[in-house]
Amino acid sequence: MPEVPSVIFLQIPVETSDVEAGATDDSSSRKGPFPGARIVQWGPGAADKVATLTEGFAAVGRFDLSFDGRKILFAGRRRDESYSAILEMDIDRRTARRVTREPRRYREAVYLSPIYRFDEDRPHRLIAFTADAEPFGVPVLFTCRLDGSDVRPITHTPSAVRSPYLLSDGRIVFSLMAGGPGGASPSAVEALYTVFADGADVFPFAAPHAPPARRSMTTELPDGTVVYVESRDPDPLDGGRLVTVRRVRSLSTRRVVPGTTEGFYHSPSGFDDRTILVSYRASGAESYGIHLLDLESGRRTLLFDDPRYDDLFARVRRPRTPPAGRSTNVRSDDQPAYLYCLDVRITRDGADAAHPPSRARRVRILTAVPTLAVSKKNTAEQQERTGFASAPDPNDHGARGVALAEAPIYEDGSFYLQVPAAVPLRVETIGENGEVLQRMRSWFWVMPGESRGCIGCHEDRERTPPDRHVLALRNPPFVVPPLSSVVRRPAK
Amino acid sequence: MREGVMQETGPSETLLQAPLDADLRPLQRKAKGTGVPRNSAREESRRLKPAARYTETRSIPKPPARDMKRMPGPWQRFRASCKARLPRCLWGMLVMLAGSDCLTFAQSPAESLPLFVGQERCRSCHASHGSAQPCSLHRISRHAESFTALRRPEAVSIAALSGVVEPPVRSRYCLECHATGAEEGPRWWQATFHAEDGVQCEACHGPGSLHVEHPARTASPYSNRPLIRRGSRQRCTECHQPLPSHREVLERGFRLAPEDEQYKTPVNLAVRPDGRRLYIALERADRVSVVDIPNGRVIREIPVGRRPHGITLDPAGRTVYVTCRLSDEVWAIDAETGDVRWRLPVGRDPHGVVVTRDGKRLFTANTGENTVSVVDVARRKVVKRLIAGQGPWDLALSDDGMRMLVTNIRPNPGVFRAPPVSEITEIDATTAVVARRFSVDGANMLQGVAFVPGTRTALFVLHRTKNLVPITRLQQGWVITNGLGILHEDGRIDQVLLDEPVAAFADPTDIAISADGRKAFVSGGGVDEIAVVDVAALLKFVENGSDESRSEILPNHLGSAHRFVRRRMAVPVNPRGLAFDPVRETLYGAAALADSIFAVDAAGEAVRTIPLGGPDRITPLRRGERLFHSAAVTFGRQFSCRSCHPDGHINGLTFDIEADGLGLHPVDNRSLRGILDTAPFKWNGGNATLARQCGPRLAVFFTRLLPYSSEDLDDLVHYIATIERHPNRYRRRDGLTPAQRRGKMIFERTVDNAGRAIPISERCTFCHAGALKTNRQQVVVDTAMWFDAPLPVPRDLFNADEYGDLGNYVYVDTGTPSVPFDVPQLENLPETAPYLHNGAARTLEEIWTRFNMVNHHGRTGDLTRRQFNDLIAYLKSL
Repeated sequence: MPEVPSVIFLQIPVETSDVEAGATDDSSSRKGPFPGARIVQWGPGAADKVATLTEGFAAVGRFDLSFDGRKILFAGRRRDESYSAILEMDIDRRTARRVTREPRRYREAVYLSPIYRFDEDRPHRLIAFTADAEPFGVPVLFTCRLDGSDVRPITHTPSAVRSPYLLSDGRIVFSLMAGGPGGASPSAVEALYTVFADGADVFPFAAPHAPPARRSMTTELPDGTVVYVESRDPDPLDGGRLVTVRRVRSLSTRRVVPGTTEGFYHSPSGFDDRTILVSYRASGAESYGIHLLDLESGRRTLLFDDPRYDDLFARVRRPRTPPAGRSTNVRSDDQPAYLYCLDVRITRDGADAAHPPSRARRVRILTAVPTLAVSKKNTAEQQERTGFASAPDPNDHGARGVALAEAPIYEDGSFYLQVPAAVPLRVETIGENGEVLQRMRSWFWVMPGESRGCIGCHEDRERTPPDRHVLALRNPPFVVPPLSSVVRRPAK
Repeated sequence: MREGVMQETGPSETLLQAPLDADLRPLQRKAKGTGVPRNSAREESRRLKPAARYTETRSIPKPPARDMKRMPGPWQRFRASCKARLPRCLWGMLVMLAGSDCLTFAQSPAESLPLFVGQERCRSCHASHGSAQPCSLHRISRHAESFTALRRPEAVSIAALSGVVEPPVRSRYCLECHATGAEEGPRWWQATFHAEDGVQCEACHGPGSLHVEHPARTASPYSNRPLIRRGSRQRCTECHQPLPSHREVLERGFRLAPEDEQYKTPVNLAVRPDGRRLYIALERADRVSVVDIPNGRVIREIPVGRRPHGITLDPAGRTVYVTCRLSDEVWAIDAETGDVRWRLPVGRDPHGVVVTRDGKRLFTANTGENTVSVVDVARRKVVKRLIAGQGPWDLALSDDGMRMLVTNIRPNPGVFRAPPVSEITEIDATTAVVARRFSVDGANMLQGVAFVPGTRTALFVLHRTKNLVPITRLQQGWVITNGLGILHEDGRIDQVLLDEPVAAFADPTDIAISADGRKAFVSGGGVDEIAVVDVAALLKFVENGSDESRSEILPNHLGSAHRFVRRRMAVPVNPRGLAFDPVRETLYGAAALADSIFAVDAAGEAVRTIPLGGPDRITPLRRGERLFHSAAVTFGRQFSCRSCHPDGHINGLTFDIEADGLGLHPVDNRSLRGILDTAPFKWNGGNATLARQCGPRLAVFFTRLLPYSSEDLDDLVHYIATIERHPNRYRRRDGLTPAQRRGKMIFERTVDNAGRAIPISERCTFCHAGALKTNRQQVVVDTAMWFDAPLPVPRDLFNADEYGDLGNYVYVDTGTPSVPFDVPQLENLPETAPYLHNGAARTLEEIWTRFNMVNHHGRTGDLTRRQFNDLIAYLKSL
């Protein structure tokens, strides 16, 4: 067995895991903070003895290790406090400071690389965290500075976001429920997406249209291999099998790690080039223990196991190279956002003789509203005023789509829109007779000041744009009105 | 098919002076015909045209007969005889006819153009007629010391930051402010003139030979052109303005480090057929290094011309040929002894070089003049110049020695805002004629090229730049993609990408193929890597694709590289030229910014390095150079500064940058050579300094990673400032030609051909002033087009197919608001096409013939064809 340096991990009492698994509120079980849990440090010579870092905390969640290996960042609640916060702790001094100030239901937190905004004088170091937010009541990914200021939501979707992880190229990979708040059902699809620290350029990372499963707990190895957990079987903590992709071609290099289809694997993290630290629980076993796993052979070596706890999120305590930072022109909320498409006819979908993309004449832009916010009256009113129907989506359990506008598609297949910023958006191409030719399967968003370009509709994600000066960009953008001008909220 | 011998594009040397002579006739007639005293006429003229007070026009007295006798030359004699015999009105008509090109007079133009006489000649009169004070002041002023200032040690550092490569006392750019008559050149200096006297009287008052000959007059008897110019404040400010290069040295203390002159910068290399010697072109050191391969040691360095680039050996391995970019030569060196056998001027900015299989002919790719020179080795003579594409770069000869391919780095001039189309030029090596021209659609920066041994298929490296798509994101290859081109035997061209998503292979520079044809090695200059390509897998991959796939999908797909790229291996900094040694089955590569050679075994596994003896210390300037050539500053390592600025120059493309609106404000790429003193930057002049231009703004809108640290930015800016100006090949060593000199007078004219004063703002010199020919301000010259206007763009001005006639769009739309643009420097203009802020003008001439219909971009509408040609000839000489 290789020499193991100091390891930090999370211990969740087994009873708590079971109780939380039965809770109706799915989010608390999978995203924490976990009541009674603690973050501990374990050294190789310490046998079964661990040092508790989070004395005095009633609940703690998944943590992230700082780039210098001296601090941890986590969501937690002290025993004498009624709500949780994101905290940063000096590991050696055991002193924790509160990072966030607003009362929210905080879940997880990760360190980010610095970001430079065009309207600021210098780059600032950031963290990202997930916390429940309105209007959909699901966890949303936020960023803020290390002092807790400048809090900004960077995901805008009706679906739950969890398990953020910073890739070595500076992108944040996260899990996104395609089914909204009710996505915990066995049939839900949870895929991995990436976004930059400014919230721009959300892009599928792995399994966006894969069979139903939950995908989370991503980690990257030094050689660019990304490992995540794919959970199909019921497990209170979302354990499952391990899957690898290459960071540079994540959509096309999926591989199940051999030997990991039996039992439950949880929270992998890099150990060396081909070995990872991972928590494992055999089927029927009570708790997770920490193992070393060879990714090539699938061979496991037990490192630590306390049967009273699920030992999870193990990380080797050592410094690491901070990923590249980000410069952005995403600014304040009053900046317009733009969306343009080079050619809606570029698609990887199979030819549909009845609905060829070449027949697309208009593009319909929809936004999501919480299901309760759309009354029949409003829908009828909206249809009467705009001629657009609200488009209910069977996949959305907590939200439904509301059409904002229909914009023209030019002869070369291009369109150019000014869209409401930082709201969920979905696009449909419409034929001459009003028929829907293609419909996006997931929500996306455009940040204020961002100009988002698309190559086509459902195009091959590894395809680069054709070098064309498209007709749409020779004209001003079509202005898509905000939701407030289309639908009125029901009176309370 | 274009083929033929390159001709000098300068205009005829026997042009007529008469149109200028006719300029003031109407004004003179008015003054005389109305009976108004001449002074009153002048005052009236000034009152009606406020700008005219700057024109220095004069009512001209009738020349005395003795003056006529002094004027030599047939043209003067002809005019004198006409004047004596013809009535004044008839003479005027004749001159007008001459001005409209109806007449041509044989005359040596040099005889009618004034020469510089020198301050002593001025003093000989002005010291004794009560006007000695200016001369006295000059002698005690710093103007007299300005030339000697160029000999101070700081001058070298200032010159370096100005992109000047020669000693300051020989640099035209330095001398234009530190001396007199430098722009015109020694050809126009009389024996009494000495440039060493610094800034003399004639710096402000113009060359004085005619004034000396006719001291009583202020203007030519037959021309509105003053014999001596009145000094103006504008003339002072042309030089007396704070230049960043001077500030950096004199105020901030920048100095070149001794090591900056000691770096080697190997760029290309060649292996002797016996596999025992390696010959390396050291660009920075101006030398060729000889490495003994078995011992892995440098055994000799041979001084050659300025900036050696391409290098090759004859088939017998006896002679090394190396092209020298800045001295426009090819050098022949004895491979064994290192003796220089001969050197020969071949063409402007030669890069690639190749020898035919029989060793009798040598071909050089002349990047600066878009030609390929054919050299008869035995006669040591350029026997032909073949027209290539834009910026010919590298050459490759087929196994049978019959077929030669030439890559070109810039796309051919085409329809505005259409995808770039570059050219592979095929030359029949036996007859030295252009056989075919292949279009490589959507590609640019075609550099290294090599034939697959045993076949007639060739591979070449390329960029696929998305210059028509707004630069809004970097994921998915939205800015520049990097790849390989395959030229099949049947002439079909395939393109594939070496990039992967978020892991680009930036700046593929050269390619070498193993002797068995199974592996191709590509150097990635921006990522410090070598890609090992399985040639058979590559060919099979593309040949299995459908026609649509090969034309539309494969050239734009980031997911195909894994099918044929077997490895990407790290090598020392900035790999460029490659050569494969068939004897040892080893690839050698030049790591330009590591001053070393690396060797890779045929299996593409092990890498070892051979140091070439450069300094161990990395100076700030060298750090800046590394930053410039590194794609690590870009998300996904997609491109480096060099990707758009090869050799610090341009890639010939127009880009759509997000900050000023999507689809709007396309901007032409500008050269970085000698750029520091041309501040402000950007086409709208929005960035006052290079640090601002390359700072946060670059990061936010281009690279999308963190901005450079202040230390990195300083180093990068200093490196960019030192990017060398290239010698202007349209300028003779002894100065301007007569045609260029006449063009200069048109450039500086103050009245048009009809005698009307040209408003100051419409004079060339108002904007294009000083040594760099820029007043460094933003001006409106109505070159804006409708897509440069602020939003909303009028929809009715939009053509579904193309932009149509851009010139019409400019002026038909009366609602087009005026948009100011930065006044660009006029530096080596023939090499900076296309022109205007958006690259709409494909040639220099088009700037005025298509885009200056209202004469706001200089008063050119009245120019005769010959005057116009003179003007173009002068502009090319800058």
